[in-house]
Amino acid sequence: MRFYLGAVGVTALVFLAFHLAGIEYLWFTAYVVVQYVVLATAWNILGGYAGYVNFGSAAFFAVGTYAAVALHKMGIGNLWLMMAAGGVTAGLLGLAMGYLTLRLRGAYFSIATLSLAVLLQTIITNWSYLGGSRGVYVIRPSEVAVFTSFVEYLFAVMLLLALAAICIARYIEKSRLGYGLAAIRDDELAAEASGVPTLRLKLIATTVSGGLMGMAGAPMPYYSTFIEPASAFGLNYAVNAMAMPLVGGLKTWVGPLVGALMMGTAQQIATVTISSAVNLLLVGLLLIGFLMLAPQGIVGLIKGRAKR
Amino acid sequence: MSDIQLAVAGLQKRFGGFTALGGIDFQARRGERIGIIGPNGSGKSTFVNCLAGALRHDGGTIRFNGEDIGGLPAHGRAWRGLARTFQLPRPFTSLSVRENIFVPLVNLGHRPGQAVVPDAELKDRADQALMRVGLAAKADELPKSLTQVELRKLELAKAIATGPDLLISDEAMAGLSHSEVDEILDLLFDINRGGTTVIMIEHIIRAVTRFSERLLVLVAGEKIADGEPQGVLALAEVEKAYLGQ
Amino acid sequence: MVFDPGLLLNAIVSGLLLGGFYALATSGLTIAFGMLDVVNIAHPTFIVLGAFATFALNQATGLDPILCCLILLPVFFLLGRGFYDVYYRFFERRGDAAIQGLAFFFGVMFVVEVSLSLIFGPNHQHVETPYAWTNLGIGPVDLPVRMLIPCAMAAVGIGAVTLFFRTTFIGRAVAAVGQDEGALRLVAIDPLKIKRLAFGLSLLLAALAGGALLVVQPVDPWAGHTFIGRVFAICILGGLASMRGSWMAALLFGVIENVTATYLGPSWSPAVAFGLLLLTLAVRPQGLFAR
Repeated sequence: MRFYLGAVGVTALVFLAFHLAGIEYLWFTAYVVVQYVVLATAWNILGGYAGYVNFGSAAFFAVGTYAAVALHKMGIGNLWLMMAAGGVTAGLLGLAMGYLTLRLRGAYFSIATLSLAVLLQTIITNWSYLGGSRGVYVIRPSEVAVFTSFVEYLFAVMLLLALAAICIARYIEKSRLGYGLAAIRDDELAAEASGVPTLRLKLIATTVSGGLMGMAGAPMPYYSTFIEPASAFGLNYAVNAMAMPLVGGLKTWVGPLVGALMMGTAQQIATVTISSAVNLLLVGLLLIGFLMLAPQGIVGLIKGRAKR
Repeated sequence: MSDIQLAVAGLQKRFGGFTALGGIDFQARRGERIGIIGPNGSGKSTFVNCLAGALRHDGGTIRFNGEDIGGLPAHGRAWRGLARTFQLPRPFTSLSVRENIFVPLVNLGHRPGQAVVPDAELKDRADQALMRVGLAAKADELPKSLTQVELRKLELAKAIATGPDLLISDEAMAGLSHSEVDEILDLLFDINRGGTTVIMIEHIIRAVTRFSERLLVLVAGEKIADGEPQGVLALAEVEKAYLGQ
Repeated sequence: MVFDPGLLLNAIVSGLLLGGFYALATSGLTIAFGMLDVVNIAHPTFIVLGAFATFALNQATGLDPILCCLILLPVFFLLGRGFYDVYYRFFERRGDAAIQGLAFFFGVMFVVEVSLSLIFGPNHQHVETPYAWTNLGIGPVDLPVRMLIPCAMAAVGIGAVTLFFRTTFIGRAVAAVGQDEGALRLVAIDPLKIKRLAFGLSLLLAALAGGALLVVQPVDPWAGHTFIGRVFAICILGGLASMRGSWMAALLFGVIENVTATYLGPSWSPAVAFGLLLLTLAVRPQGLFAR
């Protein structure tokens, strides 16, 4: 209980600090970092806890974005409804994907997630109602009650989502579900023999993970005002959603947070100074480097130091 | 009420063109101690895997406590009180020894007639199981720091923590020293005294003969003998199959 | 729409030719994933790397692209061997490391693609060859030479490797290492050396496919993505470790994909690939042609 109160408190403080700073660009940039916190935390619920690697995070994220676009086209502009739609659609996608592939080896699930992203991007590109390859423009409301600007509102909403994601991740981690997922990760055959309903738990993890990613994607139409498939399904989402937990540490909720804050901030600074392609290259190299040299991530390194 | 706990009829398993189990008939009574021996490749592990649900059998029926469990996944059979250990110990490497026991315990609530173990009791029940196998001192350690015989004990602790009706022990003593074999054997006796039927798959003949009330011999996927241990071992076919290898 | 038998026939024939190329693209994966159980999702990216390397050599020397490709084969063989060494050292373990291994190849895929786009730019590159646009016609059927060449390369490449597996001692060791490492050790063969050789072969075949790809169509750094679903689907459909199985699966796949493209439009091809992959995984994960 103390944790949740503390987390709410920290989130409120963070928001207050940013609010007092009063710089629109700061909220705009911080939004991206906080969004990565959500993505990394969501990815880790399936990847780090259960050991099933999702290469198609972009698919779930973009499904959330386009669900929001669809709602907007139908005349519904409420951000919370968009997020609900994004979450539900992406969650169902996760459930369906999981049901088809999770009874098989983990590798097959991963391969399927790779193809899923390509498939969905193809579908969206050919779907003119959602803008197709030309893309779609969305008008960001000029103001909103209570907050200084709509961008600050978006930042606050994403902050809230990050809080929710972390609380959910921590809850799962410490719960009976968490023991089951850890058993699945360590040895699925032995988990089954110990009475863990592996398929059921994997489906829960996939649905929660996908749903959170979809919710993170839903505010994008208002954030960037122009949505087109290439950037909605961008590689930066897929590689970061995976690299951040791997660099930060897979086994707990802390790792993705640390990884996202560090790498997200670094990338935001870097995109101003170096090209985005080089930026992504560095992320890829960082990913490989940590995999080979520090597989337990930063959290693991710190824990290792602490033991001595 | 029949005291036949496990009734296997015509159990078959094929891998592509290869028949691993040709149609096994077998029954176990409540509280019995049964041994299964057979040369390498005779289908013993396949038999265990089919019983436990790790493999889908291709023919025949498996009835446990009167219920046909053939369509149940492995976890479903564990929920019904059928436990098994693995030939090569499969601990949950990222969890502590005690937490390894949590895994079967948190799923105990699925068993018909069993209540969910409340969080407050988890630690005590896990420690009880660890004490029974003699691992209490290592409760907070990770499996990677355990010795071979300790890993075997952990396997057993995981299997018995939920108080199963039937335990299948798959070559729990392979590669252990003489005194370690006796340790595991005493454990299995103790588990059986607690009311659990035990089926022991083993290569170590002296352990099997000491333990079993009844002995089965599997050769090339067929059951060639089933009866009182000394008698079975004296059979010509058994001698040929086993010692001829 | 009037049913035109000529259109269908051509669609099927083109599909078979396409399937030939897919067979070549998948052959390396059959070795890596099927025989060595290395889930090399970067395999299509290595094909693209092969294509770009061929392109670079062709631009630098003016030699025929296929010749360039052949020159590069030993390079990729050595690259594959080195790669396996790294992979083995860090990731060839069970359980926990499985996710690390997958992530490793994902990272590699990513780094290669971004590097290619930084070196060559993000646009499509292609080569001009004198035979690229010629067409052999047999009756109502068109046989574009630029599709026949990859088929020929596939036949030669896969044929050579299959022969190697069946007839030479080392080749048979490769086929065996996936099944029983212990037995290999008993005959005094180091499984690691064999696996390294096999992975080298895998990348060699990838490079060959890359050269073929360059002849077939313009290539951009991200081309690998469209192939990932396809080659894994074909590999799984073909029963994972069987070269013959993956050949047949590739032909089937090429025909289905091409006929669909002809009647529904080419933009739906990835959907076909993915659909077939899902179908295979859901219905018959051991493949259609597994023995």
